Amino acid sequence: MGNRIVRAVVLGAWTLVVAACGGAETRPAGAAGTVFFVSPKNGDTIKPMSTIEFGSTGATVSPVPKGELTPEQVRAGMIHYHLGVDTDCLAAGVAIPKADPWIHFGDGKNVIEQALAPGPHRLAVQAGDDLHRTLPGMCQVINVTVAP
Amino acid sequence: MAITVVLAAAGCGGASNQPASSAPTAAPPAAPTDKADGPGVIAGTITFEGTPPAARPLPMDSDPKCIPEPGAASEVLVVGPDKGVKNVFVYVKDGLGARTYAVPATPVMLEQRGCRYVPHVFGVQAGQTIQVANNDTTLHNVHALPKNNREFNFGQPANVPAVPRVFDKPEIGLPFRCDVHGWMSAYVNVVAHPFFAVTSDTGNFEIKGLPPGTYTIELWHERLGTQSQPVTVDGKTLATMKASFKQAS
Repeated sequence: MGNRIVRAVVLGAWTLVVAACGGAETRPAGAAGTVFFVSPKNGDTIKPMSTIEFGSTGATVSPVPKGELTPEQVRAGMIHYHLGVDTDCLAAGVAIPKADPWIHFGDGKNVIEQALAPGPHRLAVQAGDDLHRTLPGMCQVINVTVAP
Repeated sequence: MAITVVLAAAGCGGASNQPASSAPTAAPPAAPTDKADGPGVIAGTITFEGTPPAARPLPMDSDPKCIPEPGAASEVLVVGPDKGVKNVFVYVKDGLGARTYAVPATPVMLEQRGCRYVPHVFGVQAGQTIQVANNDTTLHNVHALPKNNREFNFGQPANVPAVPRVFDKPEIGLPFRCDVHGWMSAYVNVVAHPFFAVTSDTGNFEIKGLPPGTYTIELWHERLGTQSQPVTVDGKTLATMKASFKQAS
């Protein structure tokens, strides 16, 4: 009886976590973890210069090691963030371009200020491994509106 | 309920490991008492000893929106035909005593143009505004990595207004990076007074308005390092200095 209550409370809490994180998510069943926007949230109206913050579950956020890495040197379970501006999630297993519209956070940080023109925008947070390759399901897209 | 709140915070919180940058805050007025209108002028040339490396093109292929300007090449080490070194920051490191100088109201412009920062090396006074503009058609992010000042990192798409930023404390060789385009870099040098210059294509520089005195002039270059030498300014004759750098081993 006691165990059932605990399980129900934990399940309810997890449901709230997912609801609070919001936004469109591409995480398939069995994926290792998630990435999400801590702020802003899907549907928010934001200022032309706003702080964007990311969060994650099920993986460790870490700076990318210096130097050229081979696929064998990629550290399992280690990710870093990428912010896509006015774009969607990439397919799993592809290299995230070092180009517009992707900002790389190879230093392992999770906050940036973002300037945006007034109007609707689509933001994507995409996890990458040490070779900047996308991981299954570890991406979220939100829609925001920048106030004039 | 308590469990719910804790889990919700843990799930979505994500520890923030970078201080959010804020709107620029000018340094508090330092009650300036001096003007940079002294009679002293220091002029000089910085040269390179040995055979300089060939200019290296910038690999911009990763972003098709990056349109290099004609002749665009790495600015890490630029040596002219007469071996003058470009982009050496030259400044008065010591000798001004307790003099204080007003912060210029005119901002310094830092452009992102042709997927490069322009200028590559520049100076500002502590508290002076830097206006950062994106004149490209691609997305950049402007990531300043100071040691003594506050770090900032902002994304700047095309067609958004220039963004003002201020460094409050003196700091030499403060790097700017772009985390979209790894080849982009610039260095700002923040000093407490207006007596600084950046060497031209020919390695020449000039610092005007100094009061008579003996100063320690320091040279800083991103690849070649630093060196300094004393220079006496009498206010009647041009004070000249020459210096040379060797390739760091």
